[in-house]
Amino acid sequence: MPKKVLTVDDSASIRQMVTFTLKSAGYEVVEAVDGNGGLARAQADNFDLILTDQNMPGMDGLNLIRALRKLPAYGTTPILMLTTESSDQMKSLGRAAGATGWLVKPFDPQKLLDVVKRLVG
Amino acid sequence: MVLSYPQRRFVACGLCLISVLLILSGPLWGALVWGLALPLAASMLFVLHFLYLAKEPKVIDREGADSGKNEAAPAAPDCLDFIHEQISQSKLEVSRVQTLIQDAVLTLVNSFSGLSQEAAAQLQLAESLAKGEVGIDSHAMSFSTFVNEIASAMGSFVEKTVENSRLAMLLVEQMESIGQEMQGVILLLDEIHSITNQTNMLALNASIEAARAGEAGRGFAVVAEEVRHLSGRTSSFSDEIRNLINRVNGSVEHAEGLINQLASQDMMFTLQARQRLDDTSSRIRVMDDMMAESIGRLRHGVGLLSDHVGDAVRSLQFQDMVSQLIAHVGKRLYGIEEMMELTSNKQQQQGQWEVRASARLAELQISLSNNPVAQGQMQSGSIDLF
Repeated sequence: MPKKVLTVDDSASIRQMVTFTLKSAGYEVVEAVDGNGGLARAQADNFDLILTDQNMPGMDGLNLIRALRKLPAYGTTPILMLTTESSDQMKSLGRAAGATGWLVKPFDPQKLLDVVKRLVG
Repeated sequence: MVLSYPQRRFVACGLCLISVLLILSGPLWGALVWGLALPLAASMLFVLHFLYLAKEPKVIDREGADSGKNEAAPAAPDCLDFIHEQISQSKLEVSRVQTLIQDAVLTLVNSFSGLSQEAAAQLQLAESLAKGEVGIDSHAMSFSTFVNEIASAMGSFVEKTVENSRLAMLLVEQMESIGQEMQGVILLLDEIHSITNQTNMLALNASIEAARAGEAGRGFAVVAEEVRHLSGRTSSFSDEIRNLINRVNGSVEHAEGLINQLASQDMMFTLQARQRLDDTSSRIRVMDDMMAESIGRLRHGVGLLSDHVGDAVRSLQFQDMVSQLIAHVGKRLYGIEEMMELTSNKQQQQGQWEVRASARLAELQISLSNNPVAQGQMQSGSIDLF
């Protein structure tokens, strides 16, 4: 049974790259285009890991993480922020919101894969 | 709509800032965007140039506004319309740039993904071919396995043949032994023949002695005759046995020759087949080694290709970063446009204008100060696990 990953990003190319990287390694990947869509997908299914961008129309990444952490099913699920934001202030906000990690774009596919494997196997 | 000198300075500085930002961020954008960004930057610089060249009318405008005598310079409304038009066009062009880059990058990512997957599939196919896993028969085996199986079977066959040859040689020895035994029998027959001759001679002498004895020796003469008769029959049987033994001896020698020939032929054929199979096995082992080496090189090549695709995937994320940068530039344009509108309404909002303008300016400065993209290069971003 492959592990299921949800990737939330308003950039179609980033979603495509994340999907390609993780699917090549055997993960099942579901995409959402913004925070609201991501929250809806997360509630409709059970994911082993969630990757989210920060700057998105509607609900941003930090608010998505806060909303997810309120759900019992995602209390301990690894949630990674994948964003161009790289300031320490934003990282602190992410950590406080409940993010498991902070990955700054551009991501290296192999490094992303290493992190995902480390978190969900 | 008339612009005062500070308004023009504000607009000019904003356009200058955007132009410099567009030019400096060029290396991040790639050739396509750079080609569109340059005219955009050039048009902004042209507006900047226009504003500063219009310094003389600006003084007149300001004085006119202050005094209320010269309320509208002839060129000022055209200038403002031009700026509005340029900003509007810039927004459209920025939107087109984003669409173009996104389309191109999506296609490129698809291409690289397909390339990587195709290479991996080819490697898998090559490995399957090498292992002999390709075929409609689930029990299909590789050529090298097939040859090894044949070599093993041939080895068993050779062992059996060698054993048969050894038994045949033993049989030949047994045949020779039988021949020697036959010679012994013939010698015994010679002895019997000699005894028969002596018996015959003895019977003859007995007959002579019986004849001398006259009537008294008649009975003895009959016995001597019977003895001679028995001796003759014995000699006759002995000759028949000798003839039979000679024929048997000839057959044994013939059989011995055939067995010898059979044993040597089997060994020769088997040893030659074994040699040919050994040679074929050696050549196949060489081919296997070459195939393994080729697959190793292919695997290495696919690994390199995967690395290159990884680099491409990382580099293609420039689209997301540039898109956010362009969106930020767009926000700056919106800010400039809003400030222009606010400034142009200064006369209608006397007393409240400064308060509203200051508040909005502070909001815009905070909003625009947070650039979402701090990276200046396309190196892999940092990873922090909390």
